[in-house]
Amino acid sequence: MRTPGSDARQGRLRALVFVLIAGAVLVGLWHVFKPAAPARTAVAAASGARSIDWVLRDGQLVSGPEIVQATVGETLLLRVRGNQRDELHVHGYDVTRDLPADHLVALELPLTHSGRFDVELHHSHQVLTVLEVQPR
Amino acid sequence: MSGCHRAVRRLLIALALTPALAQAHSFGKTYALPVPLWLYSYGAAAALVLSFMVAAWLLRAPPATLPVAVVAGDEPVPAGRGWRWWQALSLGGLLLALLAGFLGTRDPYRNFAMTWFWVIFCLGTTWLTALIGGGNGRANPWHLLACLLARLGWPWRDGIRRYPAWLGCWPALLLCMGLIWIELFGHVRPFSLSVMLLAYTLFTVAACAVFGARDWLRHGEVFSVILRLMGLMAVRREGRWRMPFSGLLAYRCRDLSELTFLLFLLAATSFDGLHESAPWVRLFWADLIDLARPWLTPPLISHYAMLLDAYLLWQTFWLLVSPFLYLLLYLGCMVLMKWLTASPLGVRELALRFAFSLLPIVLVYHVSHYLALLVSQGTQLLPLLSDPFGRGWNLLGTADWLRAPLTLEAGTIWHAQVGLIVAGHVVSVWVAHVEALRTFADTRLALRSQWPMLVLMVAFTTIGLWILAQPFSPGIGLRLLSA
Repeated sequence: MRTPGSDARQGRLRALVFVLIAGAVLVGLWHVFKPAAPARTAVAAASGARSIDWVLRDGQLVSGPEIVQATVGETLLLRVRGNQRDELHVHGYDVTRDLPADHLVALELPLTHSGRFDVELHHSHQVLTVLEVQPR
Repeated sequence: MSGCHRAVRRLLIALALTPALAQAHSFGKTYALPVPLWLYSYGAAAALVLSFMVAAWLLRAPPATLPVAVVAGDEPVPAGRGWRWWQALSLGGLLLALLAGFLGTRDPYRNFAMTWFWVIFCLGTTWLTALIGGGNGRANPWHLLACLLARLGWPWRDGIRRYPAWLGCWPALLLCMGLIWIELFGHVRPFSLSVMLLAYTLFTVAACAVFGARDWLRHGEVFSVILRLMGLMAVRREGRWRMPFSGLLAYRCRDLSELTFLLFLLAATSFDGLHESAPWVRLFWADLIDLARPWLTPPLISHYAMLLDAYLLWQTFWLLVSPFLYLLLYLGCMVLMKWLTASPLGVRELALRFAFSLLPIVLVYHVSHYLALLVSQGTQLLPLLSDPFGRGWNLLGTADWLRAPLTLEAGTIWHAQVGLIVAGHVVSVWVAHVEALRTFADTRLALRSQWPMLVLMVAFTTIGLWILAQPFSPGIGLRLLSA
């Protein structure tokens, strides 16, 4: 015989079954889609700092990449030379370096956190490059 | 051909180095990385599977009989000590922002005005309202100001003229378009922000005098309209605790203007994400320029200024058209729904009944796009409160806090983004199904009515995820193009 009490119990049971199935489906999908091993570990394992060069003339970029792909754990050596005085600012890491005119300035940057960070030239108000630091 | 490519390359280098473009988002830079492809696919698949599970769950549900109020109620400004604190904070925040913009530093990051308006007010208040409601009475300074003026009586209480019914929420939509345009393309600095905030305050006061505070807050004051819609999802409404999102079933969208406004909130967030992505930039700067090449005498660089203007027009066009494209999609879906169910209700009536079911998708889009910004820049409020003008003060002793901004790890942001979008999608599907059970007497008919709605929602969700997964364009996507 159906009573309101048994109906409510059945409803709760049905809800529980649905939530369990939904959870199982989500976990199952996760296993299907998650890549087996991150492709970038090999890069991070390389020892020593990777150095990258930029050359500026009259506040204009002459050479150097406008985007740098890296992985947490790497160390970058950012080397900048320009014929005008400027200031280098790495957003997110909040590191600032003076760039005297006609000097090569090298900034060693151990990548401790992931994200997409602008490297800005303060005086000429430009984005020198963008660091895309992928998580490990 | 290689000559052409070199010309394009030179042009792109010039563009990448143009401060105006490179700093397109000079304030409100997020540190988020694009969602990896596998996580995007996972989110889309999860949304799809869960949608069908919601449908299966409701297969045996009885037709819903929930009461509905057609018009979302006016929110009277609540009195009481707790509320007065909120209201003082809100009006004080606006006042301090105005002063900081006019008197403080030009550096957007060190000026209180920018962080207060773009991050704390536009993001924080909106999301808090979606959570606990009462956003207008709590934290919208323009709403509070208008209500204070209304208490003074003529002309603010009733206005000089009657608000024309045909105007609906279109003024709010227009203002919202202006706001988003300024956010994306305005290169706002603290000073210009304060000029705009002051102008908007005076405009609101004048509009309230013409149409009366009540009508203007309902139809024209853009933040009041946003917060009223967001408040429908809150756990507290009209002083009582409710099931989250239950307000979406307790109220109904009023007219096409409110529906279009809601769709614009969705479209604007998508556009913000899209317009920074590499495919979007490439569409204009590579594909369209290639098409226009016969009319552009080489070298391309000589057309640079004209192309920049054209790009701004191009982007503005798509921003303004976007809500109407979404509206067409949505109405098309309603035509299908009417056809599938042979419903005696008109397409317009169906569209209004199901409109609010899209609000959870609107909210999670917004949160997932700007979450990283609220964390990194919103927390900068602490040091800014000690030095609102950027003059080196330390009024509260917090000026040195958070020197390096708080950043979330990319993995944390990705999982939060995808989790939020899938969860919001499920809530939207759920709300639409319950609305269908109420609208169509028969359960099978109700489920059938939801096929087009399901397709639309999966499309919205997948687009949202896709945009999050797109690579960003560094200024202009030179690296992608030269490949």
